[in-house]
Amino acid sequence: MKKNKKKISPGIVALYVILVIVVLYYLIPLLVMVSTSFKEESEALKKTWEWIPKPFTFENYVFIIDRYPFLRWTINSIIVTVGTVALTCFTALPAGYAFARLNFRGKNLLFTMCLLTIMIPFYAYMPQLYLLFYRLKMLNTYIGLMIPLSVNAFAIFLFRQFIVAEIPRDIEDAAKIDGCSYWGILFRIVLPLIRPAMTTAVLFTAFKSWNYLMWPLVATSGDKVKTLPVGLAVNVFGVTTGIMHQPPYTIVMAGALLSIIIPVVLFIFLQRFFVRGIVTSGLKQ
Amino acid sequence: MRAKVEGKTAFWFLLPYFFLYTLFFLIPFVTLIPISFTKWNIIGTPKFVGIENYTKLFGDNSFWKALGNTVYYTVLVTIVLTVLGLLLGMLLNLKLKGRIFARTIVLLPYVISSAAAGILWKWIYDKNFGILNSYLRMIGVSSPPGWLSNPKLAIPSIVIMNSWWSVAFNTIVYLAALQGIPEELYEAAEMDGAGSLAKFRFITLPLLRYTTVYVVVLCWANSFQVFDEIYIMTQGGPVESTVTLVFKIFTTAFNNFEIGYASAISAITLILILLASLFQLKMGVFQDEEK
Repeated sequence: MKKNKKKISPGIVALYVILVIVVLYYLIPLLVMVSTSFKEESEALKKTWEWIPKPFTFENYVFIIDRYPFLRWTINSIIVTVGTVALTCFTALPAGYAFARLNFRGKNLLFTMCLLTIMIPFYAYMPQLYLLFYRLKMLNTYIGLMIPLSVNAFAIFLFRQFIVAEIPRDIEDAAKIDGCSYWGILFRIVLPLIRPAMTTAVLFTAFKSWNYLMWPLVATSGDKVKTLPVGLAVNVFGVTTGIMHQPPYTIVMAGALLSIIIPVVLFIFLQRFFVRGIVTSGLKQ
Repeated sequence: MRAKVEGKTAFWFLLPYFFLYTLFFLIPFVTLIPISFTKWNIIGTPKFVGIENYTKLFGDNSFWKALGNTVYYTVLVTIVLTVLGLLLGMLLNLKLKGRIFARTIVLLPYVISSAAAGILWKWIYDKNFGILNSYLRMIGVSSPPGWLSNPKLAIPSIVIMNSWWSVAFNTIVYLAALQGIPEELYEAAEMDGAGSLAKFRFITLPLLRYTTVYVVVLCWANSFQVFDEIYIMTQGGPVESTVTLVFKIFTTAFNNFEIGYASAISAITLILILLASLFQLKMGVFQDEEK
């Protein structure tokens, strides 16, 4: 059993077969998207499936970019994503540090209150939040799209854990003796050391924000601030208007494919951090 | 002196976050219950109607239907994603050639937006021209079903879509847990003559108990809130067979503008989900104590 590893046993062959099937299962839908996006409409409306588009056309992509404010949506998505990440880190880093290192009254209570944002599902306060944004005239604004995700205390939790477990107190004490203020400690000592936790927080917030559907769906009405998922779902896919107003799947798939390029490329390059993030923090959107 | 400085610093460090927290989480959240006792269509002022929304809720067939759909979906998807996550984790943990590539492909769908993933699967499931039915016809199924247009198949079809789209999280968690099991345990068992099945049954499974509780609780809580896939793929149809609680909250609040009623559904849903999660945690911990 142990020595004859060189020989190929039927068990190993079976495992490789399973591995291939698994890879195909997760790959094929993506190939369907790619293949369809280069087809002409008439070819997509055939009852037999062809993998290679004949003729091969870029028309669907041209149509998506010409006909819809696709670039506007993409820029909006980038603005909202970058803003959400910045707002999250800006509020969570000092808060995470305070919970990790400072002593103050009501600390446990406040920390428990933060964790509520992770436990309470968004829908439980979404209608009321909508009313609030409506009153504050913050619907259809970028900041209005950034705030709900930034309120999630996941990053605070992550930073606090990391500071407690990984950053030695001695360095901070030494800095304090040298007359460094807490803000100085935060930016000069903690910030450079917290990079792994920061990477996780940035990555997860960014992916979540980029893919976020529910809140932008209700908080945007015009194309001015509409993000990619909403623009695609409402304008291109026409999910609310029914099949009659939906453009052909060739165009729909071209739009879908364009929208996933950034996250997919980022994921391929940053996979290591992504996996580590899930393992250490355990977070799903 | 020192304590005073720390308190002051803490105040300034917490201020930015708690400003957002109070305004955009706490206030909306604590007004959930009061608003659920009102009738309110956004434009006017809320009118107190007592428990009317709740009595309406209990007589509302579509609420019970939504609750049934949600529980059915959640149970199904939790089982599928937990078992599949474990199996994929085990497969990718083996020292097979190409497993790094395989891992990338398995995890890839996870970063795709619900909008893109949902519409892709709607196309795959398309009754007439989708790839699934094209191949089914090719292998001799004369009239393959409309996966999303058949009320009986719609929810299972969305579960299958999720086995592609969102299993990655469970896979990674299981993979990490499996890598944490010391090799020596298996070697010792092998010396005692344990086969693969025995090793799985007596080493792997017991050691993954905590991981499984964690995966099940998270999966349950997330699936109970299913909305995006429904919104993109079925809009609750056919004949309300995929209307889930959160989808109902959404349409009640933003299509019918019945904020009070939507809040009442939210409140009930919230209680259900917290109870279910608590119950699962208790079960998980309890099982562990028995050991």
